[in-house]
Amino acid sequence: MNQQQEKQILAMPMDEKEMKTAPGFLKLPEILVDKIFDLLETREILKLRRVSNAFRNYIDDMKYKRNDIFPFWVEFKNDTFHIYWTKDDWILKRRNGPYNLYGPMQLNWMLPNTITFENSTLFETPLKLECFFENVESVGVKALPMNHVDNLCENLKFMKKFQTFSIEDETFENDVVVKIILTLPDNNVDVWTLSLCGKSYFYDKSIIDAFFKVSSNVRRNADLCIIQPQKGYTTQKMLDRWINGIRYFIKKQNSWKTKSINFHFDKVKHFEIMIDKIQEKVAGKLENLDLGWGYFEYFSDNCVITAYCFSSIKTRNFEQ
Amino acid sequence: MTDAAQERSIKLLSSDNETFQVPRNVIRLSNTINTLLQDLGLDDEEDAGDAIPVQNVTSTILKKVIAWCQHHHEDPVAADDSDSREKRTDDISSWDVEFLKVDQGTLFELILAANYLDIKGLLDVSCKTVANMIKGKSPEEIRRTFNIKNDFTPEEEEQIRKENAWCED
Repeated sequence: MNQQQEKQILAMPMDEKEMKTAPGFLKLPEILVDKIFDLLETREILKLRRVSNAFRNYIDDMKYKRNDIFPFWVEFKNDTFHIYWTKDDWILKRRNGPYNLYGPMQLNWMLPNTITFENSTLFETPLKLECFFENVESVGVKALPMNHVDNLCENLKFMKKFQTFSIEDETFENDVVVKIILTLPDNNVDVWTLSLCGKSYFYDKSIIDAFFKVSSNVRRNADLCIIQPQKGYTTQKMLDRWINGIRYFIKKQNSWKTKSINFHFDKVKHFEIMIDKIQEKVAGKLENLDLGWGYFEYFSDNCVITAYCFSSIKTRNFEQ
Repeated sequence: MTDAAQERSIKLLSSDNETFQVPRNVIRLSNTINTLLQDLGLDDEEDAGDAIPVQNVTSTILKKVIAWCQHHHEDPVAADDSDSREKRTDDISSWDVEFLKVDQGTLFELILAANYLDIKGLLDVSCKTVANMIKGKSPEEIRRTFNIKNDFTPEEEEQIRKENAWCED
């Protein structure tokens, strides 16, 4: 199709009767559609989400195929904790965008429904961490309890290619916290924290499943609260969700001594609004409300709540 | 290749029962046909016998495919770049650009035929043509190009616009 033909097409009124909800090429075999999409930049593919439902659905399903559309994801497979990170420079450059809309959701999408965590899985088998990162300069891992740290170190040899990685030495009995701190070349930091907490329920599949699903059941039934931005959540919704989570947790664990709450939002004007609101809501109920990088944790004697929050949130318009 | 080999031809039978006589060295661009002839031990035969049915390809499309092969059969063999993440789509020759000025239905059928016959060059160039129909266009322009109905509700549209805000200028 030449430019003249394109102009003619664009100038023509659209014939409602002939209009389709999907172009012919979406009806091609999947391998061919993928071949066409492989010729498109990520931004072009994502733009197609705005064309029609058929496109949006197809592209959202592509998360299993194209790691450059969705910046990163994790999966557990054969006792191995895999983290995949995009190799797409453009994504990395644009990573200040709110890809938290996608990032945390990968946890839900990628984890198989049938996964089970048994005692031996995490406590007797070395927890292997395999990363497939490029352009990532450092990876930090905090693993708890400490007897897992050696195993983790052993399995982190691949990280030689990164400048630094660290394993922090805090210990919380009965808790396993794997924290991956990603430092990218532009000095942005992402913290992805996986907290598997508690005692008996730690091995309960439903809890583990719910852990990743941000299920309200978790908050009702377990000493565990995961709060994460959800796809499509507005700032207010996200804020409400966080506050509700904090409220619930404080209420439920009223007798527990709070160690700290860390927020991710330093140096970001928009976050100050959120932090003020959160402080207002929880004022007087927490011993500390520290503003810091990366994540939001509520440590009690035997429980941790964690919220996922990414530096990418920085550029979101929280005044919307 | 010997003169005899160059003069050899085979017959292809389209899905609508039209037979095409094609020089062997022209249709050599099709890996599917090559494999078939080799598997049947007919690759070096003077007469490949009956027409080879190309069941998934109509005569109209097969004619176009043969024309493409006719033009490109003496092209140097391209290096296999299957692992390359190259996304370049502006390297279509002017002949191919003209050749692929067809309606979208024909273009998609050519893609299917190229895939079925395993003609890498034709598959690449036809897919690039489709990609070029998308590149640089707004969602509305893409709808018009492909005659796609906007089936989003205003709320959905706003939602997706927000989801996509981070990746659009």
